[in-house]
Amino acid sequence: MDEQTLLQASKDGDAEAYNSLVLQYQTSIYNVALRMVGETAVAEDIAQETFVSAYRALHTFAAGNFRAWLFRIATNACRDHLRSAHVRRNTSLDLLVENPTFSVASDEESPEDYTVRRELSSFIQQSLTRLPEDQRVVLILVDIQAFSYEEAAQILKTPVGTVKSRLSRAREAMRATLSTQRELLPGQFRSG
Amino acid sequence: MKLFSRSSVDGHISQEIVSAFLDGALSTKEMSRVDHHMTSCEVCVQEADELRSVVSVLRAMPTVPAPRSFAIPVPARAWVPEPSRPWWSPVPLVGLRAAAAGAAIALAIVFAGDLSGNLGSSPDVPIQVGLAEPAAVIISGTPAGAEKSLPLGEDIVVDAGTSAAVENTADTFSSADIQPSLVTDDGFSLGLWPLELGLLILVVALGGFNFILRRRSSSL
Repeated sequence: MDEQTLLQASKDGDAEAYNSLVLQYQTSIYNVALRMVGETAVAEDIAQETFVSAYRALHTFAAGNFRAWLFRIATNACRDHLRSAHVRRNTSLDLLVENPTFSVASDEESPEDYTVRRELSSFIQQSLTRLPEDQRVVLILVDIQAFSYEEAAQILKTPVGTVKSRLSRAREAMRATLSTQRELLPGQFRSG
Repeated sequence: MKLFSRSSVDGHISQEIVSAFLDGALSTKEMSRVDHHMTSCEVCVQEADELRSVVSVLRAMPTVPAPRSFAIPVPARAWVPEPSRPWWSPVPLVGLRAAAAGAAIALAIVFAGDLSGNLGSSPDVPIQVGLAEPAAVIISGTPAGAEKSLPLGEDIVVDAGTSAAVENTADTFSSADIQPSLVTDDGFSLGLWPLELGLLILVVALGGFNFILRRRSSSL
């Protein structure tokens, strides 16, 4: 079944149809949450909250881009979490290094490469966490999740021009951060 | 968007333009101008290369598998709540309207019964009106107007049917002093006025409340 059919069935109360949509989006929603908050357990909670909230609010979704609507719920949940008084401001920066936010080593990958990749992944995650929230979310949506400017603007309910400027500032900040750790970058990126 | 913004240095392309250029998010005209500038500007070329490296590193970030399924329990219908409804929404308003209507009907019945003399005390019963002072006003049929300027402390006899006299003495004794069995010969029973007044207040209050809530509900 295509997305529209699943969506209509979900609105009619077919939980199985809704779960098909969940399976389709759960990895990307979880990854957005993980990159935003930097903690696996919190990202898991946010992803679950996103799908439950979306199911409860399905009757309010009239038409349009379901993916953008779903990611808006997720990014709002991330923002709520980040703004909540319970968040420890300096949380997890050390723990993030240990978090499994990278895939396991493949058969072709040497242990050294795996270690470097793991360190790079942790370093990027730390750098993301230090970005201002409005820049971080744009960078994650466009550069990591490969959303278009227009779709990112739709998700964030901001003009495309704002997405462009925030993305530019976020990339510049990431460039400044990554330039301090060039040894972690793969060979093709060190020449820049 | 200006290609050469004020923030750019020495006429180089602004970072925002370079960033959009990497994503192909410029107009055809802007793209060709940037391309042309890049052919002769090493600084901007390096800027673009570095940003491209950043984007490449970010896009190479691994996708982390979801640790578990986020599917909702089936059947899920049971735990999906009804859409939240404000307490002033139409259903409570129906009850409020019914209460106001009931109070209005009750007021009409009591008032009609009061006027017809079917409710309250018999008009034959003498009525005693007590005063705060030891003096008392006894209404027993004295001509209207004779009771004006009642001195406190004296007993005054007033005939039934002299409601005007009762009104004229209002400045001399308070209505709170009137005994509940006051009945005039035209059948008007003052003994029911607290009930009528209470019902009237209830009707006005419920009607006003209903009006406010309807306005509030319709403004949502």
